[in-house]
Amino acid sequence: MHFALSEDQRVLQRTTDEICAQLFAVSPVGDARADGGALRAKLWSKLAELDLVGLLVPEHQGGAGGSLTDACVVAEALGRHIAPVPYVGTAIAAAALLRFGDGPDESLARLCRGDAYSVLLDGGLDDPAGTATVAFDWVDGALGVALSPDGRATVHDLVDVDPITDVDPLHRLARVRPVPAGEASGDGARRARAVAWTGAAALLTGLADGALRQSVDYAREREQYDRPIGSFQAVKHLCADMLFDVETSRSITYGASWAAEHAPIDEAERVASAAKAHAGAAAIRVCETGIQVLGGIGVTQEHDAHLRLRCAHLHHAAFGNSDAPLVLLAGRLLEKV
Amino acid sequence: MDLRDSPEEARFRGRLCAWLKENVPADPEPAVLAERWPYMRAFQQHLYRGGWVALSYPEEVGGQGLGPMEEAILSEELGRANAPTLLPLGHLGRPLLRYGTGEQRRRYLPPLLASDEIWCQGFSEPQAGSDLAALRTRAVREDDAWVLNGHKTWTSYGVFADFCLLLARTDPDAVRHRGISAFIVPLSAPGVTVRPIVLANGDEEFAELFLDDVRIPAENILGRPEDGWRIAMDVVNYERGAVETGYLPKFERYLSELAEFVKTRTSAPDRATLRALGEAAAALEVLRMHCLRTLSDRASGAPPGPESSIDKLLMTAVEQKLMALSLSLLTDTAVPGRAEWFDRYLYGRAGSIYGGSAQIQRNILAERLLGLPRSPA
Repeated sequence: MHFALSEDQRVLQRTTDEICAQLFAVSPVGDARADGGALRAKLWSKLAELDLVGLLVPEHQGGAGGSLTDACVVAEALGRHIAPVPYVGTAIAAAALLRFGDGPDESLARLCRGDAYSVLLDGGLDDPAGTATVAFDWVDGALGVALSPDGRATVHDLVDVDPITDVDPLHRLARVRPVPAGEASGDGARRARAVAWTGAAALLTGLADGALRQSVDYAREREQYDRPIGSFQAVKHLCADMLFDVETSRSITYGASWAAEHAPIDEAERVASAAKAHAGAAAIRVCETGIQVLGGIGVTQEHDAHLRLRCAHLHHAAFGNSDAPLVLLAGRLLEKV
Repeated sequence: MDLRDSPEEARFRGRLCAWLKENVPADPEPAVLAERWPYMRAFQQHLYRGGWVALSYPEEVGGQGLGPMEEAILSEELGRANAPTLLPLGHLGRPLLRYGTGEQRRRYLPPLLASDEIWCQGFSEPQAGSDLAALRTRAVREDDAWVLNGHKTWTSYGVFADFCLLLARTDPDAVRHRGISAFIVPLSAPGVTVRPIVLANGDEEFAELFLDDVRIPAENILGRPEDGWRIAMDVVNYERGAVETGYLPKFERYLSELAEFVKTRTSAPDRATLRALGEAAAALEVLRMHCLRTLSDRASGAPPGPESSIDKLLMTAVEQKLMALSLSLLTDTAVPGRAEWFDRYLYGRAGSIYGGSAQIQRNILAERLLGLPRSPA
């Protein structure tokens, strides 16, 4: 057993961080509001070009044949920079559903080349029971992926697409003509869900880490009473709490990144559930605390802090918010005793 | 990342599981410390004879010469086997291993690891709690002896202990952290008085130590004079982990007990109960993975540093979450065992105080890991 990123994964981390830092030197706000999505498109094609969109797709199906840990490294870096791309939706959740739910090979190959695929969920962003009505992490021209009632992943052209004005302008949702969809019961579908939970947890961890870094930088610079506010214990303890949340999210998320892919399905689900529930609650706490450390600027649109918090709420809500994973964990525990 | 057992680890786990199956006592762990202590100690001694204690200590001092990952496996399997609680003293061998002379390691480590001799920590004093460097206990060199005078408090398991790893000031002119040395003090020495302190839950786990002209041989200093602070920081870093203290399996057992309670009370628990159970289960998963990560980092041979404050805060958070869950489940005064759980809950309040309070841990994280400026004293 060893619990550590490989040298290649550390390079992947630096690469993704650098690309984002270059593209979003100013802020994703500009991209979300002003440039009609040019930066978003630029980043997405860069990720596809580097084979990072198809990390979860095996080589024989046209993908990069990476691991879920690799994909989590990328998702975390994208979260750190609040990157406005549908990575969790397409590269992780949809790719996992197509791969483990025996979706069409051709769709996997197209996904790797950068075509967007939206996972179809119910109105509460949960596993649909009967019909799916909402496309998660939707972009113009995306195809939909749903778990059909017979337990296989099916691809749908989206009809009657009606974009939803929801909490996160960088990761969009759209209402679509209902598609028949069932709940995850077979091993493949359950594994796909565990992978989606873990991917969301990785993005959430990155969001929290970005908030922590911003807060710490600010607390070192900003002076009140003739000293940096970071020298006051009240502020220090807020930052320490953020660090605690970030590092514990990292531990469970990277543990899940291995388990969701390699462990027997019950264990995969157990660890992934914990990752989703913990990283979701932690990211919201950390983004809220980050706003507190920033003070006034943090509650304006002149800063990204609100986008970070919005993004954290959306990804916490995705795939059954914390309820589904917690109830699953409780059920497992009660079966065991 | 690879969380699979290597072939050696898998063999180790297999042997361990087989041994636990045969050797975990069937009788329940007594609720009262006076009865629980001999029960825990007997199991720990038995575990040692089986070859499952001090896994990552070298063989020449009574260890198994294995690594941190075996320690992680042991924690996991003790939890699964519902084994008795370990004596939370696993961290006290570390300073002897790292700073002890060859003679000290030979004399003290084997019986310490075997739990044949019990050790305690003489750090805190009435005037030196969070501010440990304010300690006043003095050690003065007289010929071939050190003479100790002072007063220690909150000494865990002091009433059961044979030896104390004790911090004392050897240079009265040095500032604070400097001028402190670490000593090996036999509690049987003339001039040592041990007074038990009863915890809120009724257990005599704490003690005060009074040292009046206690003479110990010159060779009973650990490390060099003035090494005391470094040694103390090493000890607390180890103490802050859930593996060295054996808390991970203990918490696993608590969670199983609470789940059993839910199961016996109702066949269809409500959503709030399920969520609360799920929260506790998630917290334990996080703790388990975090411990694995911590131990994996340690496999490179580096002792733990300030990041152990995260482990400590996490361990405390898990314990207090479990106890909050127990209070929310055991609301009916007619429930058998309610009072015992309440005592565990009270004990859980200590988690965020001993080993450096939760506030001190936050200062460490902010200053040592995040590089925020030190607060003006």
